Amino acid sequence: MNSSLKQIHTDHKDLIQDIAFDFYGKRVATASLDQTVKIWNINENNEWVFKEELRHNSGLQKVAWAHPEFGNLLAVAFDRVVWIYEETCFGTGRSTQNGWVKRLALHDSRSTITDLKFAPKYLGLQLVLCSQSGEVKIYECNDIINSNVWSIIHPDLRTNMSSCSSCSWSTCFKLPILLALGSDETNPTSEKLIIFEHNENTRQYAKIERAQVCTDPIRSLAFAPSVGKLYHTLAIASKSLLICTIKSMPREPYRYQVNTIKLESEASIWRVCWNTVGSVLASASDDRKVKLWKNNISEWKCFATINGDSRSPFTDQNIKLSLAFPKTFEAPNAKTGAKY
Amino acid sequence: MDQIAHLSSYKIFTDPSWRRVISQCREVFNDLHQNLETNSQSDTIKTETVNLSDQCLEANQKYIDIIENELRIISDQNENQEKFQILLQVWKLCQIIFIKSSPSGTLLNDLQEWYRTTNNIDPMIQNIFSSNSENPQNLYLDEKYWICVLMAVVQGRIETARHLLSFYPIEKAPVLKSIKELLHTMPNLSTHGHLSLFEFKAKWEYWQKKCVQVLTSENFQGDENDYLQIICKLLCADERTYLELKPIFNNWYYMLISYLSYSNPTFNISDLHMSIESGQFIREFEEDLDEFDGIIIKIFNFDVDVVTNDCVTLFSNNFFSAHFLDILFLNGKLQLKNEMDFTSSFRAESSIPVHEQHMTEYAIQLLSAAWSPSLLSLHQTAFDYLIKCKMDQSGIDYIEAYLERIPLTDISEMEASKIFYIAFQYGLHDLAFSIGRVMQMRALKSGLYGTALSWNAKIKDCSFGNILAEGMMQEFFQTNDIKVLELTESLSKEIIYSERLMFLNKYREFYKLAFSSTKCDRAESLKQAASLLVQLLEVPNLIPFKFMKRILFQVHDLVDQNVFGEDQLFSVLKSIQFYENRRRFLTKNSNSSELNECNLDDEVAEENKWKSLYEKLSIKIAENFVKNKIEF
Repeated sequence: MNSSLKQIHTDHKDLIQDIAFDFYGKRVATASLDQTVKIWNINENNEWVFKEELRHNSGLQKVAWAHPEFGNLLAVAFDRVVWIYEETCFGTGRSTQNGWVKRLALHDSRSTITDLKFAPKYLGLQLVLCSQSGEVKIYECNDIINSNVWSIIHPDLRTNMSSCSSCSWSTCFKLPILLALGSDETNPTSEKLIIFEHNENTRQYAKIERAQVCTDPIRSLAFAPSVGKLYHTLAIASKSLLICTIKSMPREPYRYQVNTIKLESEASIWRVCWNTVGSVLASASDDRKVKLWKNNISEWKCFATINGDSRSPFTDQNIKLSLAFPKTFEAPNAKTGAKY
Repeated sequence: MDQIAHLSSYKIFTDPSWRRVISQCREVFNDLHQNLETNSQSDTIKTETVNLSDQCLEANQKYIDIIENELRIISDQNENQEKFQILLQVWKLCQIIFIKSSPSGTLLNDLQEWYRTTNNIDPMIQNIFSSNSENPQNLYLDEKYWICVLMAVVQGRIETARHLLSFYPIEKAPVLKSIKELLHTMPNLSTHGHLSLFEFKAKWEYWQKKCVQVLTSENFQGDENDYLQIICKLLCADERTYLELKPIFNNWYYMLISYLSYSNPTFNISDLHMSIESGQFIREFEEDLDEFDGIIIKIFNFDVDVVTNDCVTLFSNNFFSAHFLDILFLNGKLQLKNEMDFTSSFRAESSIPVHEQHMTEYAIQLLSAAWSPSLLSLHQTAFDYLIKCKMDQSGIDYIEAYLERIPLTDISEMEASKIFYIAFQYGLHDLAFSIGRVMQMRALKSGLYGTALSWNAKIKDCSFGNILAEGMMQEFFQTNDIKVLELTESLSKEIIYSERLMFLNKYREFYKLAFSSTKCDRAESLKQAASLLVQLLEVPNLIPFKFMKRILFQVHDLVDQNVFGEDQLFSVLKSIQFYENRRRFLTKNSNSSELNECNLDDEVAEENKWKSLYEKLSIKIAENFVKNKIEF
């Protein structure tokens, strides 16, 4: 496997705010403040080829792909609105062509949307939205053929957070599904991390009891894919990098044993991201570094550091490194999102 | 940007000679596990335990042979040569220390053998013989002559040493006779196997006393460069002499083995451990110690965990550690560690035995490499290893994670089917279902109903089957192309899980009977068609409301043919009334999603058609009524 840092010249006219790989790692969507989302495909020579551009009339914040079981769906957030796009086939017979179609807009949010994630496929086609006011909504689409009818199934999960910055679903289907929400409030006494457990029978979410894990603002969080494990691992990007293992207590619903490892860092962490088997963690910090971590028995070790482009004209505050892993199990192509 | 260059250190998986080694080792690995499985099923317990360690030892030897063989094949310039050599050295040493040895057993023969094979002096000896083949009596004048003799002595190759010394003219150094005598009488562990260790030690001490005697009393006159004296000192296990011969040993571990073989020929693991602890000889080489030396120290310290972890860093893959730990585990030499692990408190990876961790890691490395299209066959190799990781089913989870991420959007139907069956083969039914769902969705979105249907039938996804059936009906009514309906024909027995698909199948039967049967039996087939249609109409909620009107319109065509019986006509009328009621109800509740009917013409035309149907039906019923009255 040859992996080196490759630059993609995206021709975006402004900062790229978010970047997301699809489920198979064969496509990438880049959302930029220049009001466009661009979709890229990887070809046989491992080169990213521009595929399509989706135009908006506002700078874009976040982008997410749905599981391919539901077709090719893309959710794009800008300010208070989320657009759902779908790739469809035009034409009949052999002369078919694929293209992206706007399906509908979700307008319900009252403040800026900070994060959006599709639920694990076991829950069906669901989408969670977090907003700056701390509102967390979950939408569901029942008609997966025509993905233009979405209904709110949870208008507001009561987080009691005055701002919600990031969310993540757990992926282990052998355990109850967890939804973790992080807050970037600066007030040290407020709750920073809240985890909900999904009840399969009632389809409701309930807060789990846990110890105070983090007192610093949380910028991003990510559950690790739990391949071959019967517990959850959650990475938290905050002032330092935190890795929590969350084990359920037998026969005690909503009770979990949370064990946190703190990895000190000179700079604060903005983004965290796992590879497909949950063995490698990537963290991006505001000193323009992406670090790759690997678990060695019980110890987390940084085994590679990628330095960002030092010619980048942005101040540290502006750099939100965004990264995602393609399909590779071990050697990830990490990408920095902070470039034109 | 080469900061993450070392991430791409899985070069071995693309290298042809490594690939040969990997695939051969996989065969040995599979054979070993297969044999153990068949053995464990047999009844004779006692032979099994004997067999077990024999088999493990044999398998381990096979792994070593494979690498040795490969080393012979590749040319000297090959970049792999050095890696293979190091790997062989480590593997062989591990075999001696961890597998073959017992706590009180002597290590001398095995370690000397290791020394001899990893630092072979035969080529050098052959060299001096061939260069002096014309006048062998001058052999002793060769510059390499004494080095060969000394090497033979330190490696314990006494016969070789004596043979070489026989070329030295005895008249030059009278002491040679005594030295040769000493070498001749030196007790040997392998030839004195019948002696107990105690007896052997006594014999050895007696012999060594004689050595000291020779050293102190004999006259080493005529011994140029003191070589004979050095040999004598080596035999007496004089530490300083060993240190002085540093260039000959090249390495501390060779020096240590050689020294121990003369100072304490019955040394065992704990003796070895003690010498390492004391830092004997290692100090002398302190500046040149590298990773490899570290591994040797840890092997001598009997520290399996550290050794295997260090080997992973040294070779930057888990090829060795996975195979070797597996052997150790099967051999029962890893069990103690695992039991300890279970008692340990909250630890991330505690539940997975260490050998499985390494096997999983190795398999993941194989799978990472398997992503490039030319190496696709590697995934099967990786699966073989993963399937043996039975704790918590972690291995199978990785197989699932791998198969799940194969981009179904880019591959052909054939390949997708293959993945589907692989998933089934490993009992991953959820995954197989998911693959089917992705594929049927993909087919549906591209308008390929047949493909979608065949995937749907494979996974028996009822709800999607219903959606698919509706889509096909819609397509049929719009295009009037019977081919759409015929898709269900071959699958008629397999689609009973979805009521809509079943309906579609029945509708196809009806349509064929009514509109495309041959002329000879026209009347009969129309009759059958009519009764089938009535049966379909009689089952509540079988026909989707969307298509009710379209199907009732087909009654229109049949009524003219006089194929309905009286009861059947009433049945149809009932259905029409039911349809109208339902429609009224839906309009009232403005349930738009269900009201979304399949209309082909504009509203007025549809309305007229509907009216004419109603009229025709009423007339027909009336006619029948009258006819029946007359008959009575």
